[in-house]
Amino acid sequence: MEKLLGAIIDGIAFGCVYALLAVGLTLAYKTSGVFNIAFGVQAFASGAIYYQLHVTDGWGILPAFVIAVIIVAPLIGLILDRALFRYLRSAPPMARLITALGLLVAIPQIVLLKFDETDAVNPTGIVPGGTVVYHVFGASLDRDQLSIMILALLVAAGLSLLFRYTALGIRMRAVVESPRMAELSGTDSDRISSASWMLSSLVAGLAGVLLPTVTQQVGDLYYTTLLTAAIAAVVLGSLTSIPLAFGGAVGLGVVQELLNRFLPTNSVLASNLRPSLPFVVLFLVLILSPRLRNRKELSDPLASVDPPPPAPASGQRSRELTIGTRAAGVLFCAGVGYYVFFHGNASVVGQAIQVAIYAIIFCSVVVITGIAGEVSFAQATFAGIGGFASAQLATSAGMSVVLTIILGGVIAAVIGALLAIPALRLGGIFLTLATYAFALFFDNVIVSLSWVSGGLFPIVAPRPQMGSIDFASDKSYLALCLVILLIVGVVVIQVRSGTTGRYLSAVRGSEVAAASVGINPMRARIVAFALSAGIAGIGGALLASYEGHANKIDYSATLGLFWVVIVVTLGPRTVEGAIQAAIGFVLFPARVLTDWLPWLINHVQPFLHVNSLPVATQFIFFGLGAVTYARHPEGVLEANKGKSLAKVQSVIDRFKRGSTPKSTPDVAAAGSSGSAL
Amino acid sequence: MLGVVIALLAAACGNSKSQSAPSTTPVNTGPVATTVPKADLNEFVPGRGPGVDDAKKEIRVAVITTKTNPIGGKYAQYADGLQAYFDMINAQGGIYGRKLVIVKNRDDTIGLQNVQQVQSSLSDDSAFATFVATLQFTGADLLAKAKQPTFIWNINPEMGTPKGGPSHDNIFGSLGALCFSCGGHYLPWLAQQEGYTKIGILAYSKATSASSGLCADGTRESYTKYAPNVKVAFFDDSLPFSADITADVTRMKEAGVQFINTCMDTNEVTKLAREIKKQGLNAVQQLPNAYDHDALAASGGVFNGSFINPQYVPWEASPQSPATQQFLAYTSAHHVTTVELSEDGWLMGAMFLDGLKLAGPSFTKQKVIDALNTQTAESPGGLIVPIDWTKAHNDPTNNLAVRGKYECDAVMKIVDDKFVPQFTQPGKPWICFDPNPSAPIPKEVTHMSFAPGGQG
Repeated sequence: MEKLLGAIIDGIAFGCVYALLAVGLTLAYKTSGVFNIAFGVQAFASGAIYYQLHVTDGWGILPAFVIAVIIVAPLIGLILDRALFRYLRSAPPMARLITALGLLVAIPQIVLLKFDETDAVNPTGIVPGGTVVYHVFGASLDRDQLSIMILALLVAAGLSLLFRYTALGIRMRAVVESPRMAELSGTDSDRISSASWMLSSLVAGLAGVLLPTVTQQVGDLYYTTLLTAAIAAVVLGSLTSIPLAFGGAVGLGVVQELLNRFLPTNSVLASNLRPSLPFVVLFLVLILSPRLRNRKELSDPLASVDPPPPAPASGQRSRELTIGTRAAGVLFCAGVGYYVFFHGNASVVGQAIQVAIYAIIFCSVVVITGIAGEVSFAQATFAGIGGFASAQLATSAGMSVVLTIILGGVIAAVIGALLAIPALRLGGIFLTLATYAFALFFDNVIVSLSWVSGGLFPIVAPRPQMGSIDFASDKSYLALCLVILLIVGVVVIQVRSGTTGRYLSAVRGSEVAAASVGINPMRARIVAFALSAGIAGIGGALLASYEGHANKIDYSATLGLFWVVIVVTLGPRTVEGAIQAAIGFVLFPARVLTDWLPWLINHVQPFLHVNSLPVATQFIFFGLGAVTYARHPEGVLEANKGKSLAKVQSVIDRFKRGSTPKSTPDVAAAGSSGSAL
Repeated sequence: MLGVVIALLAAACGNSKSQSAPSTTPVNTGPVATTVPKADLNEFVPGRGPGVDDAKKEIRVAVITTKTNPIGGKYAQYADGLQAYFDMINAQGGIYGRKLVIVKNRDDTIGLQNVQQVQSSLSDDSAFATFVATLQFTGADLLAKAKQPTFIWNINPEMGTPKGGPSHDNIFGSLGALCFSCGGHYLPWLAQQEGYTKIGILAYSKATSASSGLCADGTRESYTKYAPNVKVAFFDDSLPFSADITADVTRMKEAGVQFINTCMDTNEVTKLAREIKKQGLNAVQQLPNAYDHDALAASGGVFNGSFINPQYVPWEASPQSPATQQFLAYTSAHHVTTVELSEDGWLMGAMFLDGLKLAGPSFTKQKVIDALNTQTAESPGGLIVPIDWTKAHNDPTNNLAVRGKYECDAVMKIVDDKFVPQFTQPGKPWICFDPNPSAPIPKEVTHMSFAPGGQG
């Protein structure tokens, strides 16, 4: 009995770690409508500052705590509100999620510029003598753990009381439900919004200084890992109930501890369930909870009066400009192609292959996000399914590699469709979380199976051969990848402008209205989901064949998040956007940060010689780029292209008429199903 | 990604050294094992091919490192050690009338750019050799196909030639191809020496790290095989990344575990050490990858009593190795961080120089590779257990023939937050075993000096 009691107490202690994050995440959603997936990295910012001040610089606990938690953390919240989220109150929930995703990618690298504590040793908490141990009913708890438990409980109780009994709490909820309606009743939405963000950031800061005593490291990855596990508890609380989130987190901790304590180690169950429990719980709750299925996300009811997103820039072009830009595009591609095929060295050809492959994979994001309007965090996983399946079929079954690449896509599409059937009932943010749970489960369990990934040594993925054509050389393989990209691009354009695309466009506008005219939203979405997964699978298979192995790291869930960020930053609605994203993804680390920017820096000043810049810098660029998603859902490049085209069109008009320029075409009137590439 | 990151950190687990291949063939204890007369080391022979700039009189190499490791540690220190070594050699006049120059220091922070960066080091940098310290080494095949002299921090399985892949005999490190699952003699021997009879083994789940799981299997097997009187009382290879290990320590306490062997990174063993102390478990650890003096000084005493076996001659060896003195003096004078990684970079620079010297003034890439591959006891300055490069590119997992004569370790115990050498004799920091799996633990271990020829 004492064993059981001890395990439960230990479980409660670890559950309180989850609880602190789960309550913070729930608070952020409840008071801002943002599923703040960057909550963990906000915590990391305070944790890194506290470590530097207290441990490295030798400050006392109190002054270091005041700076890191009481001053810096709310300040971060204030900045996020004033600079970003204030302008997103009426934006769709997915736009807010994407913005938070951008912050998740960018904030750690910004913090690391000044507070690099990745080598942190023996981090300490906020109570003196944190390692002093108390023995309670067979469990051993130290002061650091007790401080986490007590503070998690106080935070959860305090916030519950705030929302239930204070005017401020009610105003916070009102502002997030509809800032415009709240203002009608005399509430200062801006002030309340700032207060909400500062409060949730304060909780993040508190978590930031407490958790390193558990992880023994001050790294953003640790905070994010714990946060990911805590999401299950947040979902248990339907994203808005603080007591349920707290209870769910503690329950998760207890269940986990009981499994750790009593499951036979070295058993299949322990090996698979232990690493995946939070994700399994998350997926099951999402799929099985009837409450979530019928739950509407927090969104402004007046948002429907806002104008629709702008049409593709190409929709604004006149016929002459369309011909001109297409001719310029063809000439540009021909020039680049000529250089790559006839003058490019092996590095250039290799990067061109990767651009083509990632463009194919990113087309899958165009389908699911740009066309279907959903966000999937499992695209890297689908690419992995294609890569592993293709490599296994080619190596173990000896099948033709061309066939295995296609089969890789088919298998990914089937799994995508199977995942979509239960997950699509959820929609919106819950669907995104379901895809994330699936991706994490794949990473933590499925990948370990040797018949999937090959185990310690990755499976060999040979290059294809078609009759007498051998794609062993990089240039011939590049040609193959370009042909497949062309085919995929045409398919995506056809889907967007065809029946499925129009159905999906209608469903995005109003699901009820679409259903009233006989559109089956589920069927349209499942088609989009399967197609998207299939395209990612083909891309993943091509990537494996290019590298010679199906490498796990190329398909990790974390990477999938970054893919979403980079595509939505540059252009999630067009194939052109996917290609631009692929160019950015490949060339930014390999060329811009390694060669071009250092060259520029070394030539504009004589004092500092830069050999190469850390590739992690790209996360700052693209992460901050993603925060523009709400303002430019068509992508930054697409938005600028629209402006440039409008200017050129204006010049053409002026030239043609020789008098007053024609006004810029009405963007909205151009329709959303233009013939953009 | 996370899993793979851990996999590679966990790669250098305790028994991964068992494939090291020392030989009794005498070699020089100085920084070179050379066949070239000293006078010829200054001979300038033009036209040495890509990566050798005759106009600037440079031998140009590229470096690829994981500059910032997301879970702790900065692999860029490998490049710092390499640069320090090149600076020292260049200050002495370089080699063959040329300076050694790092033409590009590339970053591969998240392991994704490895193929790209490797390709660029070959094509854009036109490097004569490539030095790699990254979480992932997916570009190994590219370097092998290009026959590029490559020197790596060997935590990745790619040192060995993959089945059906190109031969990786161009890749060198301070260890030969790793055997993650080889059950070595060292741990059972140490347990017996210290009187430990109950062992706990902890590792990540195979999804988190395949190599960690294999390491755990190998460790357990080694106790079964060599020390039947020592019982593996607790075994858990199901840990996820950043796991709650409270229950594991509780169960080890119940099982009476005295000695804990882990196949995890430093961060996790630190957490484990704190939990051991918290629960009052009377056990010590064998620490992998923890030869870091600054980290130990800041650890607050949680590691006291634990053992560690660094892969280099310990700085604490008495008398101190001349090569260690040279490394410490130079890096200290030039403000280079002195840690395991910078020492590895320094060592790989020295091994590259050995290759150049062996290849002679008319050196080419292939000659450097071939020359090193004739060495049966390569150990720059005697800082590492000598490697038999005629065999050490092969996967030793199920291949006894490619294992060397000895399996050696330098043992240290942590006492009052300091590393204290154990079981050594003056000038002989290594204790060695017969690597043949059928060989039992000897009554008397073999002691080996800095110069491998002087063993026994």
